[in-house]
Amino acid sequence: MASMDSGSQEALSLNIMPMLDVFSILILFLLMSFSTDPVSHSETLGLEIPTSITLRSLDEIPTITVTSKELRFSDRKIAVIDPATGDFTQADRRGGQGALLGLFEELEKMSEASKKRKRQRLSTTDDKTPTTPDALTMEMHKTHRYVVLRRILKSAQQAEFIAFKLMVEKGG
Amino acid sequence: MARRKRRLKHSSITGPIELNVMPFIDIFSLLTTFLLYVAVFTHIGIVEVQVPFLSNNNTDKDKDKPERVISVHVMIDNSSLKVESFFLIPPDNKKNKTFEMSKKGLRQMHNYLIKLRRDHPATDKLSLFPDDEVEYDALIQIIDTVKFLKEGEPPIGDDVKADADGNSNSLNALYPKVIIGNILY
Repeated sequence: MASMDSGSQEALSLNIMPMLDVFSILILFLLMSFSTDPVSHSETLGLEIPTSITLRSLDEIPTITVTSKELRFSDRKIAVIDPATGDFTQADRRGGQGALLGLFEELEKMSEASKKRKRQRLSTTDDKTPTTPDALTMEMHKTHRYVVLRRILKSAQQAEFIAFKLMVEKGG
Repeated sequence: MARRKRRLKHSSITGPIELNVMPFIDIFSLLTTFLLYVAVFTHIGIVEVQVPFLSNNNTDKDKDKPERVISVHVMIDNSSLKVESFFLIPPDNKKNKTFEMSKKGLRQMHNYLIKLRRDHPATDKLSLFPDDEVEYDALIQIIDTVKFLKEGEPPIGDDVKADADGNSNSLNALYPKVIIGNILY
C-alpha cells in the first residue's frame, strides 16, 4: 500500500528484527513451559512440596491439599492446623484414634464411589465383591510434622483407602 | 474508494515509509509476561506409599511364596534411623543397625538396605515407623532412600519384569512397597 501512494522509486524495507527478537523469546518460553506430564497442576498458595528422585509423574489432581494452615478436600476447607501445636485443632480430631472426622466422612463417600467404579471395571454387580478404592493423591506442605500426615492416613484408612500418592517435586 | 485513490494519486509523500512496529512489541511484551506467569518450571511427581490393612484373602499365590521371608522395619526419629530385620518364623535372626539422621547416615543406610535386599530378594516390602515429630520433608528423603536406587546402581531382583504397569520406577526400585506402619497409634 505504501508503495502505491509514493511517487518515489525507492524500495521500502520493513524492519522486522524487533519482531523476530520478540518471537524468539516467546518460543523460548513456550519450549520451557512445555510439559509432557499427563496432568499439569498449578502451585497452591501457602504450600511448598518436598523434592524427590521419583520418576513417576503426577497422574491425577490431588484430592487432599494440606497447606501450612489448613486441610482442603477437593478445594473445600475441612480442618485447620493450629500454628501453636503444629497439629490439627482438637475440634477436628473427633474421629476414632485421633482421626479427622470431617475428612473421614468425605473420604467414605469417595471410597464408595471409587469401589463402585472399580466393580464396574471388573464387570461385577455383586456389592459383596471385596475391593479397595483407588489410590488417594495428596499434597502437603513440607515443614509439617509426621503427626499431621498420620492423622490423614488414619482417617483415610478408616475409609478403606490403603494406597497413597504423595505429591513431590521431581529432581531431588 | 475513488476518493481515496485520488488522494493517494496526488499524495506528496516522497520519503521512505516505515511501519510502526512499536504496538506489536508492546503486545508481545505483554504476552511474554503472561507466558512467564503460566509457565511450568517444576515437574511434579508422586511417591507411592501404603498403609497396613487386614485382608482375609488367602489366594494360591500366597501359598507359592517362600514360607520364611524377612521383614524389614525402619524406626525414624529426629536424630536416628534404626533398621530392624527379622524373620517372622523362628528362629527370627533379628538384626538391628542404627544410623544417624544426616546425609551420610542416609547414604550408609541405603547401602545397607541394598545388601539386605540382594541377600533376601523375595522381600520387596519395607515398613516405616516415623516418630510424630519427624518433618514431612525428611520423611520423603527417607522414603527416597529406601524405595529408589540411585543413578548408576544396578537393578535388583525381578523388579523390572515384575511391574506389570510398565512403570519406569521399577527400574530404580530398591524396596518398591513402602508401608507407613505406625498410623494406628
